[in-house]
Amino acid sequence: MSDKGTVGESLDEVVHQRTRLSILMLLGGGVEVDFSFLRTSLDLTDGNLGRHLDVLAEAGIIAVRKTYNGRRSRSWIRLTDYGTLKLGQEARILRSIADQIDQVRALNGDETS
Amino acid sequence: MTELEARPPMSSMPVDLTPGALQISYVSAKCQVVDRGHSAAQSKEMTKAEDSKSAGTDQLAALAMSVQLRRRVNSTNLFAYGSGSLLIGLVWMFGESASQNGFIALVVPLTFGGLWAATAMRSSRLGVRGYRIGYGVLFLLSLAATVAGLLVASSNFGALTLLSVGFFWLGWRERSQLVWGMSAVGFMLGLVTSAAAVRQIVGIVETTRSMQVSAYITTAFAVVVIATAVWSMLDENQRLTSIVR
Repeated sequence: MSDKGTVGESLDEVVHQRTRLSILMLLGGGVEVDFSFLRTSLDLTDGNLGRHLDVLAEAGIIAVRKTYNGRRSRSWIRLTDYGTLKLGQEARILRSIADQIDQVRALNGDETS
Repeated sequence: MTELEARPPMSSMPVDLTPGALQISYVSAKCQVVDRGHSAAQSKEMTKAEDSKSAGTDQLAALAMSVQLRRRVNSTNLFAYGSGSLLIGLVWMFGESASQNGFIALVVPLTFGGLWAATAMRSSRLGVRGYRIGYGVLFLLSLAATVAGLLVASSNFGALTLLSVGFFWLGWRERSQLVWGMSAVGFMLGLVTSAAAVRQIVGIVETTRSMQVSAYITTAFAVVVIATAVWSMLDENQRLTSIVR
């Protein structure tokens, strides 16, 4: 696979889904964030966020770690190495799509690009 | 030409797979795909639903950026580094010579311990923390080294040198050029001003005057680091405010 990627590469629905992409974008800076931070930042319900995290964790894209402070538990979520790779792949495909849109517009003499 | 149109073509962008770069790269790629979907003429006809989608992407990009800024990596590390260096300089300047080495050796674990506590408290409050940066490990290592012989090491290599090595590591792990750049300068200064081994090689005779000069240089460096920390904090505040707007 080339660095640039091609449109032919299929977008992975596990990664590409809007909410899951938003989660991965927030995790992409090499940080670990807690469940409530993600829920508040993305304006999601507990159940909705939990389902998306389950999908990502099952695919091995994120890792979830629990910590305990007295009785209260906190879930910390981070991107795995595989997740970093998948996010990079996604970025390459999106770049490639944007490049192709530019090329088509240039061919059509579109002034707005 | 709008700001969005002024972006360089994607094919000219280098590929960097570090997590930080990846995040920025992704945000950029996603925004550009959205931009290309709506040309200047088309954007006038954008429906409300499309508009909100585009705004959502921008908001998310801003949020991703603010996650990094809220951790205040530059200012926190530089404040700790500056404070540690200042302590070393002041002890050299005013401390009793018999207790100087002992106290200076304690400055290293004290600085890393304070930094660890500060970052842990902030992470807990924010719900965001760096993954495996090594604040705790560095503190425990420096504590163990103090017990095992940092006293000797700090007089041979200089406490500022040891402190700088730690911050160089943290700066590299946090991908903060400012922190590792400052600590690289501090490392060189530490070697020249307070490392007994280097002074012997260079041929500087250990006198009260030369120790005073070392103390002044270390203190001046500490003031520069603290001033840079204040500048970093103001810069982080400004960038966070512009993101919130």
